[in-house]
Formats: sequence, structure tokens, C-alpha cells
Amino acid sequence: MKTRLSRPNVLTIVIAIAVLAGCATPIIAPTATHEPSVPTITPSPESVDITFWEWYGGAMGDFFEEEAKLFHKQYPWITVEVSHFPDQNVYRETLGLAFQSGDAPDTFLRRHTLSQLIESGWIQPLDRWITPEWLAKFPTGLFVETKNVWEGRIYSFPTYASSFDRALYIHEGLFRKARLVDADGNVQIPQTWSDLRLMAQRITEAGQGEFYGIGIGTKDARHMSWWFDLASLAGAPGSYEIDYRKGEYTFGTDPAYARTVELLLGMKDDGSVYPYEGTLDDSNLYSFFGQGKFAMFQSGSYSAVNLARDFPDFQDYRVIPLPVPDEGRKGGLMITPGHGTVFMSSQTQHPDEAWLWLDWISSRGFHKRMAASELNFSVYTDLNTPENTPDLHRAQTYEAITAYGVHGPFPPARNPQTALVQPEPVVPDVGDVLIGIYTGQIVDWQQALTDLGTRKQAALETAIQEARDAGADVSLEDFIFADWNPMENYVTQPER
Amino acid sequence: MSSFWSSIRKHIWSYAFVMPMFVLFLGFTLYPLLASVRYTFYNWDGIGAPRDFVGFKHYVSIAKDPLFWNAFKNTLVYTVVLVPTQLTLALGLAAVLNSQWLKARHIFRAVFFSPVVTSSAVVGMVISLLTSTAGNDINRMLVNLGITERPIDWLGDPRTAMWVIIAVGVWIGLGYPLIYFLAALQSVEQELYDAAKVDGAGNLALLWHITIPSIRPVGLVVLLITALHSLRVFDTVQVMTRGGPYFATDVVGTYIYRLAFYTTEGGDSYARLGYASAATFFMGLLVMGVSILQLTAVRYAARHRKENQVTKP
Repeated sequence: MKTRLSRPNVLTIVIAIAVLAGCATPIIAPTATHEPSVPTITPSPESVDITFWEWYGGAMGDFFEEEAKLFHKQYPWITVEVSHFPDQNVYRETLGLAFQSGDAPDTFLRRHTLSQLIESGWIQPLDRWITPEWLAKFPTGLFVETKNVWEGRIYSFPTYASSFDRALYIHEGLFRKARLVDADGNVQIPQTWSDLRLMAQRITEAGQGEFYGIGIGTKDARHMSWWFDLASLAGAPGSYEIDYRKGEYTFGTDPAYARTVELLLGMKDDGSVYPYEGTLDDSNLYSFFGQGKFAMFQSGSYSAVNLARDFPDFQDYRVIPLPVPDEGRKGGLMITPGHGTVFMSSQTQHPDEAWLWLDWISSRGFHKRMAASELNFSVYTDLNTPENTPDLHRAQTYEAITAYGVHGPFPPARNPQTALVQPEPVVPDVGDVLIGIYTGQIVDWQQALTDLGTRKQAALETAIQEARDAGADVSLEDFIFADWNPMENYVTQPER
Repeated sequence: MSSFWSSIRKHIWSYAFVMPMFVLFLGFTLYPLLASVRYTFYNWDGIGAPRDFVGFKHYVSIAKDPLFWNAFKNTLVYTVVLVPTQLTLALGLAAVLNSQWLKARHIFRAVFFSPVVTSSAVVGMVISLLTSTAGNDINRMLVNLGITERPIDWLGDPRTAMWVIIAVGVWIGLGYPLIYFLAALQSVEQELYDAAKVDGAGNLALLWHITIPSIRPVGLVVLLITALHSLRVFDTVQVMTRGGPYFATDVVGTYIYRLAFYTTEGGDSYARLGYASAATFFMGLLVMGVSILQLTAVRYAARHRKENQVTKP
């Protein structure tokens, strides 16, 4: 008979894992070999229907459907009904209405923060089913307060790989046309910012208006903000977020940001950018890349999936890590450790059966199929290897998006009450300001970056004050981690 | 009172036909509108019941927000340019399509009306892609002729993006005023034209003294409908530019959408439905104000014209 865990035991295990994580790099290979961890649950004489809501749709939605069928084969008395909501805003709203009307799904994918879900009373902890063996199958350091653990109780578990999902896609055919090849005929790789700019220029010259060096999308502010990921590699930790070493937004003071802007504007001045930036965003850059309109673009792992789907014959490209400053890398791309993907509803009438479905989603079998289907990288790192994901570009992508990822500080892990600090969005935000700078609508861009930092800092401090007024014991000090080295993983130690 | 009920009874079938639409209007337009007023006084993210009462804070914030006034200005520019352009084109086309000599005019009518029944989102998407494909051909021609140094990013350049959106707006909405004008033109009695011709009136005189006065009442209604419709512009802007670049095409609709469904740089949803409701209500009041001004101006002009006609010998 499997051991059930009480709440203090779960807390002990989480702390033990966190302590272990403190002694080593947080991400290690999973230790468990069994799969899946099946709790002792007596088959019901009557059939049970479990509902599951997801917002991916498309191929991932189909994958969930297939898994539900496999699940049904294993547990014939349970049927999982999968509902798809590809529009995430619709999903968010519909889920809220479903809970209000008492018609909530038994299990569902995360689209709200854990604090919102807890506050709304929509979810229930999984402690009663969790065993030490089940917990041990995950890589260490991934059960974290306010991400998937709340006041010591586990509410969810990580599903996808810990990575910073950003890479550079390069069109090898266009590189060859620009004769960017070494003596052996291999395509040269842009490894530094200077490489990026020079190669984009060479390709544009070779293209003579037919193709360009790089594609940038100014239609989507979020996509534009990713240029500050390069600043992270130049030592401005946090990309578009706070610099936890100082507890400040340093867009106006850290020279790494200014250098990134200069690189961006330099490529524009060179004429190296595909001249329809206003039409492009992260959802369609891959399509223009696949048509050979430009030779490079920045995106996430999903673009490789989209290319494989829409341009199945197009193999002449490579996915590489983002280029680093000429003098070398001075920081990493910050990953927040721990995440929770799937939750069990507090309203479910069939918690044991719902748990079986959640356990199925956490199983290595599910993850092996998911990684092999090239839909998502698994939290179990050994399943993301070329042996399980034979597609060349898939393997390249995993290597690229994990190359420079570092676990950064996470204030709620030190003081959980910082989760109550919720700054209001600042508009214009990083991406907006970068678009304004890029299009020339913002002329004094250094001042604009300073103003941006000031506005975001003010929003944070206002939110801290509001949290304090509401009784939270928080201060700006909770957001300062002076001992963080942005080249290395950081393990946030609990304060209390 | 009895005459009131007797009038109702007399026209009972008219009320019966109006009732379904009236009930739908009450349930799906008026009630949500009034219900959302409550949310304007709360900080509310759409989850659970609103609890954090903030009074008029959202209204004050909106009134002080330069981005709201930028969006409002853009919406007005869109309306002020689109309405006269669209109505002029629609009237001209209606006159042509009303001509007896035009062969296959029914087909032309269907063709000009077809954008109206096409999804704005699809049109916006197609036009977006066209600006970088057909637009690329135009750009290469411009560059080859030495008119521009580098290709123009039609939707990414703040100097051109709004004009492209207005052009699309004119085209996609042309069908409605066209049909109204066509119906109005067909109702003008032929005898009036015949009599004027006998008096020696030319084509311009016929247009100025017979056609336009005859369709003026319809024209005023069309003007109001088109203006109100364009003040609510949202879908084409959202699909084509999302209000960019850097808010150059941001209209009140996209401003409100951003508030209601904001996604942070980190990808988290941050819905501010209370704030968005306040912006919607605030915009509603402004639109109402503009409409009242417009109606007052139209009535004043009509009265002024009538007085002139009366005082003329």
C-alpha cells in the first residue's frame, strides 16, 4: 500500500528538495524509473466522466484527445472529455463563468496565477494522493511556493522543460547565397552581436531587394521586448524585468540596454531589416522566413513546430542560441524555477478519478509521447534528447533554448507575501518603447528608457505600499538579492 | 389615457412585431450596458465578484491618461476623414449604379456590397499580408523610380499606417451607405427630372436642385449611422496594427481591449475589467456628446435653410 502524505510531510519533502537544490544545480535528471505512479484506487462499478479543459487547441489539443483515449484503455471505467479553447482570453472568461455557475471542469490547464486560483477557491491541493515516490520522479527545485505550492501544500506540478524559450533561426540557404560559409563549405554561425549585424548586412546586399538579413516584428510589443534578452546576455539581468541585484529597473542606467538599442537601430540604418516590420509579429515571422524573405529571426521553439507543419519540405535552416556580446557573455536568460500546469477543481465530484488523469499527465509515458510528437519539451530532461526527438531541428531548438538559461531569484520563495505585490501594468511598457524607438517616434530614446525604469519602479513601489496597507509584511528589500551572480543558477532560500 | 390604450390596441400587430427585437435589446444591449456601470467603480479582474471598491478613481485615471486622449484623437481623425470620403464615394457610385444605361448593374451592386458581408478580421488580415506582398511590388517601383530611398512599411510607418486603415475602412463599409443612397435615388420621382429638363436644367443642376434635396433626409440618417459606426472602429485596427506602431493607430476600441485583456511582457494575463468598463462608459458619454452636437448642428442647418426659404420672395 502506498503511503499517503500529510501536509507537514509534503512540506518537509518540498523543503528537503529545496535544500538539495541549494547544494547542486537545480535541474538534474529524474531519479524515478517507474511509470506511472498509480495510486491504489478501486475501479468504480459505474462509469465516471472527467472533464478536462485546455487552451492549446491544434496539435496539442489533439494530443490531449489521444492521451484521453489511452487513459481510457488503462482505466476503462473513466472517460476524459477534453474541451478545447484555443482563444486564451475566451478560456479565461469561460472558466470563470463555469466556476460561478457550478459547472466547472474537473481538471483544467493553468491560465491564472496560483494566487488567483487559491483566492477564488477554484482548486484543491493534491496532498492526499501525493507519495514520496511520485514527488521524487521530478527534477529537483521545481516545487516552489506561489508557483505550484501554497503554504506548503502542493496544488500542481511542472510539465514542460525549464528553459528560456528564445533562439535565433537562421536560413542556411540564404547564408550560402551571401557566401557566408567557411573553407569547408559550412554555413557560418552568428555568434556575437557584430556577427549578427555584419552577416545581416552581407545577406541584404546579396538579396538585392529579394531577401533581407533579419526579420523583426513591430506589430507585437511583446515580441519587440525580446530584444532586451540580448541585454541580459550583456549583463543586464532580468531582460525586461527588475534587476534583482539592486531591486531596481535599470533600463536607463545599465549600459547593456543602450547597447542593445544601438544594435537594433544599427541594423535598421544598415537597411538589413525586412522592411515590413509593421505586418510582422511572433505568429507569422516563421512564415515569411519559410518563404525566404529574410535569413534570421528571433523566436521560440514553437516556430520550429510551425515550420515543420507549414513548410514540411523546408529543412535548410538551423536553430541556434542567441548571439552574445563581442566581449563574451556576462549574464544568462533568467528562468523562474517551478511551474504548475494542470489543476484539479475544488468542485469536482470525482477527485480520485481526476487525480488519476493528473497522474497520467505527470507520467513519463505521457511525456515521452509528448516530446516524441515534438509538441513540447518535457520537464524530464532525458526525454528531450535526440534519441526521443529524432527531428534535427527539434534537437537544435532544445539545445538553443537551454544554452543560457539560469534560475534567477524568486522573491516569493524567500517571502511568500511578496506574491501579494501585484504592480499594475505599465503602458507604454518595454516592447512599446522599443517600437517607438525603432520607428523613430521616440527620438530621445535614452531619456525614454530612463522614464520607463522610473515608471516601472514607481508601479512596483506603489504595489508594495498597497500590499502593506492590506497587512502584508513586505518591503522593497524583499526584491533585492545582492549576492546573485547572473551567470549562475540562484537558489532562493526561505527566509522564514 | 383611454386614447393611449386604444391607439396601442389599434396598432397591436406593429407592437407585436417590434416586441422580439425590443426584448433582445433590453436583455443583450441595455442590461449589460447598465450592469457594467457598476463594475466601473471596482478594481476587478473578472474573477469572482468585484470587491475592491475604488469609487471614481478609474474615471479620473482615464481622464488623465494621455494614451486615452491619443486614442480618442485617432478615433476622431478616423471618423472625420472616413465619413465624408465614404459618403461622397457612395453617393457617386449610387448615382452611377442607378443609371439605366449601365449594363449588369445588379452584379456591380452585389460586388460593391460584398465587403460589408465579409469578416472585418479576415479583410484586415488579408490587407496586412497584401501590404508586404503587393506592397512590396509598389515599393520596388517607388525605389526604382527614385521616389523613396527604401521600401515603405505601410502598416509599420506611423505616417502611413492610419491612412491605410482609413482606406480599408472606407472600402469595407462602402456598401451600407451605397445601398441607402441607391434606395433613396430610386424613390426620386422621374417627373421632377423631366420637368426640370423641360425648364432647361443641365445634369449638374439636376443633381444640385433635385437629387440632393430629395435624398437629404436619407443622407442625414446615413451620416449619423456612418459616423457612429466609425467612432466604434475596432476590429480592422486590432487585426492590422493592434493600435501601433507606438499607438499611432490606437483607437478607443483597441485602448479598451488592451485594458480588458492585457498581457504582460512575461506573458501573464492582467485583466482590468473595471478600468476597461469605465473607459467604455466614458467613451459612450463622449460619443453621445458628439452625436448630440451633430444632431443639433444638422437641425440648426435645416431650420436655417427653412427660414431662408420662407423669407425668400
